[in-house]
Amino acid sequence: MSVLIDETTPVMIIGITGKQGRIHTKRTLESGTKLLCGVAPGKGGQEVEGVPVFETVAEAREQFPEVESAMLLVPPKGVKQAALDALAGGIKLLVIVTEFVPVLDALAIVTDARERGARVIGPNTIGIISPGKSKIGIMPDYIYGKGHIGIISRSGTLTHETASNLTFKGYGLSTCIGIGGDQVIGTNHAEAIELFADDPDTDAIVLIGEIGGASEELCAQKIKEIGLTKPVFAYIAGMYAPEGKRMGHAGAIVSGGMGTVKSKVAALKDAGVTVCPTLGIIVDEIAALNERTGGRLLSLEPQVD
Amino acid sequence: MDYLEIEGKRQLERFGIPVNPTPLVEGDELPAGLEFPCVLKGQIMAGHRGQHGAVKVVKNQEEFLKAKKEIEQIEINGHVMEGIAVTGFLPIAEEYYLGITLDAKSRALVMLFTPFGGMEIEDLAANEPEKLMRFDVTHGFDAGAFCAKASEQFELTEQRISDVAGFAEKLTHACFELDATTLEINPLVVLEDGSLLAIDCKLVIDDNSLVRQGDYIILPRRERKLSPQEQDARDHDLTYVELDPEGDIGTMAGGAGIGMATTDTIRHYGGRVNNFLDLGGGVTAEKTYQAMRILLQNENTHYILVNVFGGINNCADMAEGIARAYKEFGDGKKVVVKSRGFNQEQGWAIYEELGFAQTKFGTTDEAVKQLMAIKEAM
Repeated sequence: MSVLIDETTPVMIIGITGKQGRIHTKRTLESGTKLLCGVAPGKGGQEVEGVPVFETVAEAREQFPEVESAMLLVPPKGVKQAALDALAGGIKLLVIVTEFVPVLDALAIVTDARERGARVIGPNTIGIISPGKSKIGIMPDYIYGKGHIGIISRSGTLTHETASNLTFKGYGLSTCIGIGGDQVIGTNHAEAIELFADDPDTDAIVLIGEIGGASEELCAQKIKEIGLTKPVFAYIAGMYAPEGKRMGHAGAIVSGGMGTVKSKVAALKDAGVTVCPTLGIIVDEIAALNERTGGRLLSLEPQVD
Repeated sequence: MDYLEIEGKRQLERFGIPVNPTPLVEGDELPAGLEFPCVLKGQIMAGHRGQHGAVKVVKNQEEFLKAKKEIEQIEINGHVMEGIAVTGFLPIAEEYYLGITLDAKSRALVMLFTPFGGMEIEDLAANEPEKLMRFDVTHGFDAGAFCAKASEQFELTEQRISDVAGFAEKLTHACFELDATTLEINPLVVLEDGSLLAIDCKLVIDDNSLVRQGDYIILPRRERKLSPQEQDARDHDLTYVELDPEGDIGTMAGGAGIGMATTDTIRHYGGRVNNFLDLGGGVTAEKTYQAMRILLQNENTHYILVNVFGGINNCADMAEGIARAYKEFGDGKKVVVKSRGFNQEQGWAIYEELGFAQTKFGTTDEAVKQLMAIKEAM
């Protein structure tokens, strides 16, 4: 088991003939993911790495009705139409990798998905991976080892960092969800953590947040609400970010005391989460947990310098 | 992106929303068509202008010149005055509040309306929520629903509610067309003849949408003076934030998240961080060369931590640029590198040749500890 995707999940790529589409088609196939088809208007009938390309999502699903999960890799201005078409075409799990999507477009997509009972991950995300099974994302596989720790993160580079830290020390991962760095995203920390609560393959959860927004605070509320018993370890980036200065993501801006590291740390601690001052300390905490709980978390061969 | 009152008002006019004329003051005379008393309004990228003395009523030429001089000097939260506008006195009967804002928490575009104007809207929401109407406009503006809700919540005449709804419909249209995350009229005034008028405007447009919006700037911003490093970095499309000018540790990171984590970790282990530098996307050898050069040319920086990831980027290309800069400007400065991902082995070999300390499989914490140990030994 894992969450959202596993080795049986059939997948399509929307925007498969673009430069990024081609690169990630190859990498997705190499990862063993069940990538069955792709979509690119005007390119129907072509193939990318042997994967058949269709004009529309609806057309692709006529031939592959089992495909309900898609990765969207189209430029920002085309995202809204492509995403709404995908949702109308029956996609139930839509991972929007594209960065710089206009926020009201993202809002329209997320609202439509909610009304249809579909799930959107992103925009502005590296996607999701259940290591060794499947990925709908753009992350390099070899730093994502298979195991029993779930990761939820807003930032792409911090997901890589956390996953590689744990993997290289031998602690593998069940599923990693990059929720995306934008203001409006389809699945927030709280909604993602709920998925892990019932997954028998996930023994511990690592939560990576950053300054700005209220996603981490909402997640703390959710942990209390569902009475989550699995251990959760969190790190909030931007402890020392100067107020009002933008350090990258749209979400990562502090103003007027809202969305500060302090308020997030307080809310998470109150929900019983172990909040760590650095990512390396999360690895130490996981190691200690592994000692206490019988060793299942150490699922891989550690790598040393 | 934030806009000034006069810029927001010009956009409101485009969508048929009535605003009062707000010309800029140029020179020592009132703009044509205005007479005393009138109101001087400082144009600055900050709220609470009244509390900071940036809005002043003036009754004669003497007061006008004095107030103008005072307002010009005002700074609010590091923002400077971009200009001064002036408006005439109006026969105001009532003050309302009407605004639309993106509520990222509930993922909705929300309109807020109250006929109890003249208060801080945050205070009203916290203390007297029954006086504030919250109306979802995510799917656009439904006039019937708005009127029904407003007449239930407030004692206003049917005509007045209908007028406000007409105003609100135009505001919603403007909000969508402008890709605004905030479009606020505070106050929306009712004049003695019963007509509605926007006498202030706050407009924030989503940064990702600027590519499909026009240039709405009227007053070019007088930016905070950048440090030489900040200017240099900007010229090379790098995100650079000065942190502790006396810090002796420079940082380079491949991504905003990992950049923040790097500075947090150095601080956690007692180091002083001079800067945050994010290489951003599309990293080439030229980009890492420029980034490394900027860090090495900073006289206060004696130690550098490079924390990069080759997901889309290529570790070997990044190392090549860093090596070239180090050979030119290295001057014996100590460098610790954590570089992993695509082509990592080639990258590691290049750093090894330069004699940099590295952690290949370790955490950022381990890289920072290496750096602190080197610092200790110096």
